[in-house]
Amino acid sequence: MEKHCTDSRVKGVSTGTTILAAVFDGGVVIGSDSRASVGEEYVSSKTINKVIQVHDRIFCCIAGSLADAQAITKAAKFHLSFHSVQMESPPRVMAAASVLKDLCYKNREELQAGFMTAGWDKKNGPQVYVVALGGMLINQLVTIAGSGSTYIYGYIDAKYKPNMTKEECLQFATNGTVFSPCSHQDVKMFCREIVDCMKRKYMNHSTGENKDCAQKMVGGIVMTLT
Amino acid sequence: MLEEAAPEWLSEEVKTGTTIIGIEYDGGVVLGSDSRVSAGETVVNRVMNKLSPLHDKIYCALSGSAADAQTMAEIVNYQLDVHSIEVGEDPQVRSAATLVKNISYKYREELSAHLIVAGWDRRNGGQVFATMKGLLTRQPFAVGGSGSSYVYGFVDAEYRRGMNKQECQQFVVNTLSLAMNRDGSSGGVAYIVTIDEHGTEEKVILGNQLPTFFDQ
Repeated sequence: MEKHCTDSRVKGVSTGTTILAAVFDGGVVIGSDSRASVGEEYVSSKTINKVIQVHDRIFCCIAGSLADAQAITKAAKFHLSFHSVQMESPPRVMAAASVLKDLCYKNREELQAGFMTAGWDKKNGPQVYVVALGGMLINQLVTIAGSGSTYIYGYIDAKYKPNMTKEECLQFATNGTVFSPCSHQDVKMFCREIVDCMKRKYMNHSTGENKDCAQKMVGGIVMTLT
Repeated sequence: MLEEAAPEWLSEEVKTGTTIIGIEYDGGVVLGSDSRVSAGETVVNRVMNKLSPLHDKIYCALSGSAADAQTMAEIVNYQLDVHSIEVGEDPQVRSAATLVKNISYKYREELSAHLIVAGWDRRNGGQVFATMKGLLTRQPFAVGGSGSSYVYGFVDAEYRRGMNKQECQQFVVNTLSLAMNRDGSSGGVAYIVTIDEHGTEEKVILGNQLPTFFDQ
C-alpha cells in the first residue's frame, strides 16, 4: 500500500483529533474534542465544531484536513436532502454514509479526511458507520478516529459493552475523549442531546479551565428511539 | 523470469516491537511483557521472554532493538555483580537503573532500546524506573514499547494508588492483553514477574488464557 504523498500541498488547518462514536441501547453518542491545529504544534482554534449535522437525525464527525472535511460534508448535505426529497422519507444512515464514501473514494488521491457517520433511522435503528481515508465503509458498534485515537484503543476495548444505557454510554464517550492525551488541556467535550420532537438540551461536559466557555457547543449527539 | 530473492527478514533489523509495563505496589513490583520479536514484517520469535534479570530482585523489561536491549541488559548485569561485591550487599534498584541510564545516555545516538527497570530493595521497597534515551525517572508505573501507545488511555483511566499485589497483576495482564490485541508488533504469550521481599515469581500466561475484551 503506497503512502499518498500530500506534502506538496499546502498543509492547511487540520484537526489533531480524537473522535468517538458508540451505539447504546436505543441511540448513538458522538463525541469529539474541539481542537484545530496547523502543523504539529500551533493550535488555531480551541472551539471548532467537528460534529456536523447532515440531516435531521444523521450526524457526522470529521478527522483530518478541515477544509476537505467541510467541503465534503457540504456536498453530502446537498446530496442527502435531494435524496430524501426523491424518496419522500428521511434518508437511512447507510445512505448518508454511502454518499460520504462515494465522495471520499472518487477523490481519494486528493483528499485527506476521514468520517464517522452516526444516526438513527426507522429501519435499522441506531447505527455507526466509519468511512476511512481511502473510502472504505464499515458498520461498527463503536469506533474512534483521529490522531489522538491511538491512545484510547485499549480503553474502548476494555470499557465498551453493547446495549449500555444512555448515561453509561455518555460517561464512556466522555471518558474516552478525556483520556486521550491529545485532548487533555484546553479542549472541551461537547454533548448535545436530541430528544423525540427535536427539543434540544445542551449538556456541558468540559475539561480543564474553560468551563465557562463551553456553553452552546455541539458535539455529542444522542438519538433516542421514536 | 522468476528470480530467487532473499527473504526480507534476513536483512531487516530485529526489533522487539513490544508492550512492556512495570508497576509498583506496597511491598514489591510487577513487571510484564509480551513475547513477540519481529524482523520487519516477520515474526522471528513468538515466545521470547523480554523480562531479563539484572540481579536477584531487580529485573528489566526490554523493548526496541533486540540486540541493543539484550546487550545493555547483559552489561548492566555484569556491572551490578561487581558493584554488589564492592558494597557487600544487594544493590539498590536505583543503582541498577542508573547503570542502565548511563549506557543509554552515553550511546543515545547509536542505541535504540528502552528498558524499564523494576525491583525490590530493602531501603525503598518496590520501585519502577523508566530510562528512555538517557532519562532516569521513578514512576508508580511505566509502560513502553510500540504497543504502549494503544493503552495510554486505559492505564490512565484504570490506575489507582494503593492497589495490592493481585490487583496489580490483573492490571498488568489486562493492559498487555489489550495492547497485544491492537498492536501488530506485540503478541504471543504474556510473561509476568512479581518481585517482593520474599523472592521473585515468574509466570507465563498463554495466549488462550489471556483475558478477552469487547471485539466486534
